[in-house]
Amino acid sequence: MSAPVLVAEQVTIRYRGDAPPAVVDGSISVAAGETVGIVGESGSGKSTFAKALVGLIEPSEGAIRVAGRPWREVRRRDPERRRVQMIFQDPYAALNPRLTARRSVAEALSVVRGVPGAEADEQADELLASVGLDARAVDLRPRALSGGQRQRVVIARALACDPDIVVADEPTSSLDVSAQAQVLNLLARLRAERGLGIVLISHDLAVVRHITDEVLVMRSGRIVESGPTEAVMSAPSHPYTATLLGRDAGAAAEAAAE
Amino acid sequence: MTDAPVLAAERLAVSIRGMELVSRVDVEVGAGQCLAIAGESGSGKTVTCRSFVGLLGRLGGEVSGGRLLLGGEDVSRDDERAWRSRRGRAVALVPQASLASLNPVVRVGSQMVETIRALGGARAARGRALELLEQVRLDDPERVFRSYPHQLSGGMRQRVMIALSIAGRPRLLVADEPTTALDVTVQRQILALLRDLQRASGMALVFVTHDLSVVREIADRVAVMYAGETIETGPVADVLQRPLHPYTRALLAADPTTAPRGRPLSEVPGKPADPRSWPAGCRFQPRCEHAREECAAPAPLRSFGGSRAAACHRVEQIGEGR
Repeated sequence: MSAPVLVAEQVTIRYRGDAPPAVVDGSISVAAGETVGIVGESGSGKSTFAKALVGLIEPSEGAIRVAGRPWREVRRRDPERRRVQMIFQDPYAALNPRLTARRSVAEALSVVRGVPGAEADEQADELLASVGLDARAVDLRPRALSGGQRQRVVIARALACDPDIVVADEPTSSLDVSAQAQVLNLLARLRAERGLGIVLISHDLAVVRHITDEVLVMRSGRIVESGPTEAVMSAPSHPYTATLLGRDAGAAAEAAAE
Repeated sequence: MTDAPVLAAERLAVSIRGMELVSRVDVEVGAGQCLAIAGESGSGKTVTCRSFVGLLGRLGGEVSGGRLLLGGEDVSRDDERAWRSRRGRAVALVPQASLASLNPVVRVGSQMVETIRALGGARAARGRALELLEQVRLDDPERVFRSYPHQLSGGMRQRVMIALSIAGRPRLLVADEPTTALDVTVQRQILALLRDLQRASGMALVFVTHDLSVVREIADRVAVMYAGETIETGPVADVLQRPLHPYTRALLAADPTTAPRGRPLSEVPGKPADPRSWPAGCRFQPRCEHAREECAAPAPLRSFGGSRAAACHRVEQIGEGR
C-alpha cells in the first residue's frame, strides 16, 4: 500500500475562541486510490473538517499534512497545492457563469499547471471527454448544462490539477437519482483507472456505503466511530451510528438522551 | 357515494401558462391509505400535487384534461373561490421544509390561532393550538406556542407546519417532499409522525418524493411518474421488488440504497424528456433499452392484476423483476 498523501492528526477547529469547536480531535489518513467516507448530520462538523483537509481553513490545534508538509507552509505555487482538490456540493455555484465548460477546465490547466493556451483547450476537451461530458456540451456555459453535466465539469476541472486526492462535499446531493448514479460511477472509475483517492462527505449513508472502503462517523464535531465501511454499517458499535442507520429504536433513544 | 375514494385522478392533464407539464395521471387514494408519488425533477410530481389542493391558479395553471375527483365529486373545473372554502378543511398541504413557510415576525401561537379562527374555530383557539402542537409530538407546546419560527429547529418548524395542516381535520393531506431538507434522524421521526397521524385520523395521505427509501418507509401504494405521466402504480412492496416498467427498474438500479454494492450503478442513457417537445408515443422510449417498433404508439397504463398497472407495451416480453 502506498504512503498516505493526506494526513490529519488530532485536529481541532474553532471558528471563534469562545464558541464550542466545530471539530475536535479529527484524524484521518488517505493514500492515493483509497476511498474514505465522512458521514454525519448537519452541524456534525463534517463540512468544516473537509474544508480544513483541502487547506481552506487552518486548524486551531493539530496539523494537516500533504505529502508530509503542513498546509500552512504550502504556498500557492508549490507542487503540494494541487495534490488535494475539492469538489463542492453545488456545481452551479462552483463554476464561473461566464465561462464555457472548455474554458473552465482550460483555465485550471494554464493557471495551475502552466499549460499554454491552445494546448490547454485541447487537453480540456480530452478531460471533459474522459468524465463523459457530451462533446456538444463543451461550448456551453453552466446555465445551459444539466446538474449532472455541471458536476462533471467541476470534476474535470479538479482533475486538470492532476490531484492524488479529491475531497468531495456532498457531490450528488443536488442531483436526481439518475444523475447521481452517473457521478458516482465516474468517481469509482477515476479511482480504478487513475488511482485517485477520494474523501466523500455525505449525509447519505447509501451513497457512502456504495463507494467507500473506510468510513468516519461524526457527531457534534467528534469522530464517534470509524472503520471499514461494510463492518461499520452492518454492525455499528456506536449507538449514534445505529440511529443514523435507523437500526434500533432503543439505541436511538439512548443517543438522543446523551 | 360513501365508497368513492378520497381522491381520484383520471387521465389528469395540467397545463401551466399553456405548456402541458402533466399529461396523464391516474391515481386513487382511499381513507386511511398513503399513496407516494415518486419521480425525478421535471416528472411533473409537484405540479400534480398542487392540482390536488387547488393551487394551480397561483402558478398560472389549470386542469387541461381528464378529471380530478374528491370524494367522488368532480372538482376539475372549480375556481379559486370553491377551492378556498375547501383548502385547510377537506384538503390540506404540507409544503417542503423551509424557514419561509412560517411568517418570521409572528409568534408560532399567533399564526396557529389565526389559522384556527379562519377555519371557523373562534372559541378556544388557543387550547386547540396547544392540542395540535401536542399531537405533532412537540415536547413543550407552551414554549413552542410562544416562540418565533427562527427559535425552532428545522424539524420542529416542520412539525408546526404539520400541526397547521391538520388543524381543519382534512380528509386528504398532501405532503410535497416534506422531509427533503431535514437530517436523516429528524426525517425518520417526521415520517413516523405523518404515518401515525394518518392512521389515527383515517385521512388519506399523498406523499410526493424523489427518494425511494422514503417511499418504502411510509406508503402503501406508489405511483411512479416520468415525463408528466404515471408510468407504474401498485403496492409498494410489489413495485419496488418486482418493477414492471423499464423506467422503474432503471431508477431502482441507479439508486445506491437498492442497487448491488461494488458494481457500477445503472445509468439511464440520454436526457430526461422536455415538456416543450414531449417524445411521440411512449415517452420513455427514446431512452429505453427495450424499445421496439410498437413503442412509437402511446403507452397508456395497463392493468396487470393485484392492483398493479404499468404504461409499457412490452411488459409481457420483458417480464417482471429487477
